[in-house]
Amino acid sequence: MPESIISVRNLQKTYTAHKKAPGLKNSIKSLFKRQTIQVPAVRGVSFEISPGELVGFLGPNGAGKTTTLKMLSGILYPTSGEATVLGHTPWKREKAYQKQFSLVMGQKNQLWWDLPAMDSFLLNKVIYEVDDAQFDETVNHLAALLKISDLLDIQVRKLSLGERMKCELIAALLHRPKVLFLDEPTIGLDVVSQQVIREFIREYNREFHTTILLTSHYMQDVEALCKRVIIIDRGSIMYDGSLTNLVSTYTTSKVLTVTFHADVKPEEFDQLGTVRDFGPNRIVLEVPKTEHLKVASTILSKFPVDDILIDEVEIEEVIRHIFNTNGVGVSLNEEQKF
Amino acid sequence: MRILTLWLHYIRTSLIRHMEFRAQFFVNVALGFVWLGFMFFTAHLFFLHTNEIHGWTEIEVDILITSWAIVGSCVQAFFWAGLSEMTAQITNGRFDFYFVRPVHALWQIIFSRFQPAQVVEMCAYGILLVLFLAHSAIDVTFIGLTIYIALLFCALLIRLSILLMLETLSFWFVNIENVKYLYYSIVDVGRYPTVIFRSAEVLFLTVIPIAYLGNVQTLFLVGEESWQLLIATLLVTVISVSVATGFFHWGARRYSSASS
Repeated sequence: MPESIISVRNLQKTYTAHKKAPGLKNSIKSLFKRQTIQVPAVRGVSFEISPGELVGFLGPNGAGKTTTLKMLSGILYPTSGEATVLGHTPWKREKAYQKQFSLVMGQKNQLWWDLPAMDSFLLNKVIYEVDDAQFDETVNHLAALLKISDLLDIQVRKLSLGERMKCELIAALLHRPKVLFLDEPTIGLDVVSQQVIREFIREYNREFHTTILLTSHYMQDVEALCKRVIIIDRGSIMYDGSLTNLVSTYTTSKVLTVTFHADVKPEEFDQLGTVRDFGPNRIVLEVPKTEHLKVASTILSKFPVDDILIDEVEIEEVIRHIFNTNGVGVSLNEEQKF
Repeated sequence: MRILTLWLHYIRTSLIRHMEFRAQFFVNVALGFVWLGFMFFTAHLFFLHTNEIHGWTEIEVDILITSWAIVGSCVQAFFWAGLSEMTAQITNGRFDFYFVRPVHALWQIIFSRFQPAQVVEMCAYGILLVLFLAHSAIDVTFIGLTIYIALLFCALLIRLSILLMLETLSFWFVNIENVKYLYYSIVDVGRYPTVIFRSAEVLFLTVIPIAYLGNVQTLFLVGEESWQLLIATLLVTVISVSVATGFFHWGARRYSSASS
């Protein structure tokens, strides 16, 4: 295994917040006396990422994904723990490190709102000391990949959300970073834009071998891009391993989608599994993984089957299951014990 | 050299942005001149009743106001827009980007925005200063002028330090937009001769160093120089800049960003 490009050991971040009961009376009270609480956003997170890896960093809202990314970008100082990215400690904010990574946040933009994206690119060119030849080549290449070559001279505020995000990606990649942190890059985008950005990230990772740590709420992003996922919940890592292993280890059932060339009744399938969906001449059945072949065979022999499809349970559901069972002693880390 | 190139690019980009809003540019210039008129009008109200204010003649007060305003418009032109955005950017989390770029965060905040309308004002104040000097009996020497310009630079650094210290409070207190009004109120005192504040003058020479925003410069230009004041100005400048930058770095370590 190649040496890690990102190494995180027992990283912790605790925020200080204060509690206040609702209402005017309590607000007045809190002006004089308030209860301060420590909110642990990240609790002892550890992981290693090799050069060129594209890793999905998953978790529900408030799980600690963005806080971890911000610590790795040097935006936040951790409460404790260590991290090195490209051999640098991120929160030392060294120029040598800042020139080698990039952070794209789906909900914040760095482009100048009132100017065409190209003006922001030119500014980044100077900030990152990109030479003319590399600048022209990168902008042309990335704009072509993202299909926005004709939009670079239009004011950013007049672009759609998807177009803006594509421009943000170009701005972030002008200096060809070795490490790229993507914090929900497809959030709020339409299906087509999501697909284009997904394709772009995959292509960019393949072409430049950039190490990418991606957070996203859209499982399609993760399924399409990441072989490895790190699942974090309430500040702790719940799973770190391959996506396929996650599915095979943590699913106990398979999904059979059967279409018929004649009417059937859902009650007829009660003994075979859990009916998840039923429509005209179609049924979706969840059956135990150990019995799915037997059940399929039974359906084929007893019912007027037109087609039968056997699928894994959706990844989204697996992850939902993991979050729901969090805290009841489920050990999900198959490849690494922390 | 790189920093200069980058600053020129920031100015260039800001200029392009301002050209998108042509009317705003002309309105800003016009408002600047209205403000200039009011400033001199209020100062001259005193001279309707007296020939001098605690040793300061009318022309000296004019030079004081102009000196103070040259520095003020320079801050407004080159540094205000970036620094005054700090509070909002810390609150909404856009400040994050300053920490990921390979240029010092403080440098980006100070230099990243430029307001061309205020350059017009700055030039107008410069012309006014020349006119006041030409119509006065003040004998300006080369050394006096050189020290005057150096002291204006000190005034600029002190003003920036005051503004930076106030804006840095945003790392601890959310949405404290009113620090801007506090800044204006503090520096506004500097356009009057500080002797009129009697015992408070000591305060303005030490803890709140507004005597160095125009008063000291004017004294040197009109030939009432004092080497003690020169040393004091340099000392106050160094202390102000050190405290302000140190305070900023302390705050930056505590930056908690905003939730996305």
